Formats: sequence, structure tokens, C-alpha cells
Amino acid sequence: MRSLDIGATGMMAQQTNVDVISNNIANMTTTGFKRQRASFQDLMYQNITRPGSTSSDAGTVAPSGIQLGLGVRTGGVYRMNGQGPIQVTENTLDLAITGEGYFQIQRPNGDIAYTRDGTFQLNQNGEIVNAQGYLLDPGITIPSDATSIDINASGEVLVKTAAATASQNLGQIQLAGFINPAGLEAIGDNMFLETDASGAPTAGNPGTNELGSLRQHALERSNVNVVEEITQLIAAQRSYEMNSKVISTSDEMLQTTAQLR
Amino acid sequence: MENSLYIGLSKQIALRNNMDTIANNIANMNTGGYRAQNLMFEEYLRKTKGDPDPMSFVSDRGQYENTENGPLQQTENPLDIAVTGPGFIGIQGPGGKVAYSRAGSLHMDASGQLLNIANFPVANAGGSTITIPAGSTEIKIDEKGVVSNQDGQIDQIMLVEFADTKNLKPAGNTLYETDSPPLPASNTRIKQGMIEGSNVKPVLEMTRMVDTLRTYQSVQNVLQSENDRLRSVIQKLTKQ
Repeated sequence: MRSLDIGATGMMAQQTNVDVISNNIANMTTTGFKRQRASFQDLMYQNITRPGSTSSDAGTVAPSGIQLGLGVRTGGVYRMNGQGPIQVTENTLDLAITGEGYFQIQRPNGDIAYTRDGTFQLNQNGEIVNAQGYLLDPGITIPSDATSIDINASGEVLVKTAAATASQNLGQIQLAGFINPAGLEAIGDNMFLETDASGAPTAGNPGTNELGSLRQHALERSNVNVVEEITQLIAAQRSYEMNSKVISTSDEMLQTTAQLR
Repeated sequence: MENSLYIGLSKQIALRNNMDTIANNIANMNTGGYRAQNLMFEEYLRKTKGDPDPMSFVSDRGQYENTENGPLQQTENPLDIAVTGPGFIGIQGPGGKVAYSRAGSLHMDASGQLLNIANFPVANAGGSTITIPAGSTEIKIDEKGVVSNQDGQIDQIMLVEFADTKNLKPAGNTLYETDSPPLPASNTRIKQGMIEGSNVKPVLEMTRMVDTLRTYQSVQNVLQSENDRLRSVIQKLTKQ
């Protein structure tokens, strides 16, 4: 019976749905996390009678055919890249991006990863590194006798040392923008890699060319909306139950068939 | 005269084997690194004397595995590894022959030798065993299988891929055996602190079980009505 397999595809699709929702809820407090959403498509159709086939010698066409659907499948799981809320912290090197753009991180194997997570710290050489110790790209080194570090909205790093009275501009933090940020490949640890789907990155100063500006002493929290996730979870659970009802009804119908006689 | 009984019997035997495979899958739903197995059936045609149409029976053709990667579970145990990608790790199987496995719950024995969950030693790249020196505090296993402790690198776990995974025969105890030559792993990574669960999908196994059960009942119906037909033939034709 087709309905047995169709019910099974429905249950598996809702399982994927619940997996995506639970990942969102688990990452509710992850800095810079962007929530995902699973979208479903109907599986192919089996043509018993093709729509548009002729119904008589005179060339009359039947208005509609007979097409039986075969279930559902996951069409895609994509990220919603809306801005998350900004949380003010007291950390000197905590940066939040308000707007588009990603920080560039240099991975140990040489390629560049992109992230929205702005929790930076200094390593033993005074270079700005992220939580894993990977360097920010382009690298900025803070001298060891710096008394205060200020990063303005355009990403310029200004330090005051005990020796000089005026602040010294050490460089400018750059952001990378993508034509299609939803096409970035997530590799975990809050980092993304560029792919053919996302397009090539265009690096620039914060605040220029539609790139967002930076805010120091602040972090961008995850954009997961808990109420919406729980509502989706309830809908997924009920859908799962109803698909299981389809399977048990098909089972009963097959039992009736087997008992014919 | 009883040909239809034998045809029905062949189907029931095939369904019984199918049910065994499904039960095995469901029993191993939580076994790390287990891959769901399916049976293939084919039509077996047999010519009959005097009849132009051959009779068709069912026969088991073979068994194949679902090679999808299972879900990763985090355990935080430094000796638990998950193999992500199409590859396998090498294990020194019974008799010293190298076997391959996806199950990554490793532990150490009293002498520091790295063993898998069935107490077979894990093979290094050359085929012999890996021993972790006493007094190692932080054991790290990186993506390529390099095992290191706080003093530096110790050894490397054998990580291989195969061009054709059809030739891997399950040998029990989470091991696979094959004669095909292994290739160096290019797309496979080891993740420490995680285990790969089994890739059995309970929903699919239950629907196959329902399907098998109802088909079994239908065939039983056929056998029953054949039986009644034969009995009434014998009764009617032998009435005096």
C-alpha cells in the first residue's frame, strides 16, 4: 500500500524538523548564532492518467489527470540571518556587528573562516585572537604597554600608551560581505567557510558598502526566538502523531485484506 | 498439483528471513557504528513440463547495508572517537588479520594498549598495536587519527577508505573483513569525544515489519484456500 510508505516519509520529515528545532533551542545563548529552518517539498507524483491527455478521437482533452503523490521530503535547511539582539558586556575586546558582514579568522591550515562571534582576546604576543586562539585577519598586535584600547564604529583600533599622550591608530578591523550569506558552510565553532553558493567575499571597512558597523564592549546574541521554536515543536509533534495514525490505519486496512475469505 | 503450495512456501521463507533482518536491525538500534541491513529478493523461474509458462518462486539474492553515516553523540570521553565520512579504522582482528570497523568506543587495558569495545587492539598505520605510555594525562586524538599525550605524538590510528564498500563482509563484534586493498583516507575525519550511533531508522523498520506481517498473512490465506481446494478435490473425486 502506498499510504504505508507515504506515512513513513511524513514521520521522517517531522523527525528532521524536530532535529533542526532542537539545534536552535540548544544554541539559544550561543554568541552570533543564526537560527535554521527546515523547508519541505512534496515528493514526486505517480501519473495514473497524465493531465492533458486526450479522452476521445475528436481530440477532447480531459480537464485533469490522476496524479498520486508519494510523500514529502526535506527541501532544504537554511539559515535566517536576521540581526540578533546586542548585549553590552564590559570586555574591552568584545565586538558586535550591527548590520551585515563577518569577521575574518585565519585558521591554522591557512584558509579564512568567517564568523559573527566577536569574543576576542589577546594571546601571549599581544595579537587579537578568537576563543580558539586563531588570529583575526588582518592581524592587529597590541603593544604590551598599552593602557587602553578603543575600537570605534569604523573598526579603527586606537591605543593609548603611557609614553605618548595622543592615541595611536594600529590599524582597521575589516569585515567581509557576501552576496548570499545563507550559502556559507557551517563548520562548527561559530565559524563559516565560503562556498560556490555564497559567492566570493568582498572585504571592506565597517560602515562602508552596506557592511555593518562595529560596537565595542558588546556581543551579538543568537537570533533564536524561543516562543516561535516551541510553537513549531508542538506542530511537529502533532504532525508526527498524525502520520503515525496514517501508518496504523494502513496496517488495519491490510489486515482486513488479509482476512478476506 | 501442490505447486502453488510450494510457491507460497518460498514466499513465506523469504518473508521469515526478511523479518529476521528487521529484528536484527531493531535490536541493534543503539549499537554504535551499526549499519542497517536489507535483503534483496529475486524471482526464480522454473520450467514445468507441458506448460509454456514457467513457474516463478522467490529466492533471497543477497544482503546489503545502508552506508549512511549515523548521528553523532557527544560523550566527552577522550577515548571515544567517531569516524565521519566514508572510511573505517583498522582493528587487529582474531588471528592477527587486520579488520575494519566504524565503532569508536575505545578503552585501554592494564598495559596501556588501545582496545576497541570488543577487546581487539586498534591497529596503527603499519598494522601493529598502539600502546599509550603510563602516566599520560591528556590524550588527544586529532582528525587524522594521530594519538598524542602531554609529551607529544605517540602513534597514528589506521584510517582507510575503500573504493567499493560492497566487498566488506560483517564479521560480528562490530568488525568488517575484506580482501580488497585499502586506500589512504582523504574524506574521512575522526572526532574525539563523540560516538557515531547506528543509522537504523525506527520508522522505516516498523513500516517494513507491518508490510512483512500483512504479506505473510495474505500468503497464509493463499495456502489455506489451496489446502481447502485440494481437500475438496480429493473428497469429491473419491466419493463412492
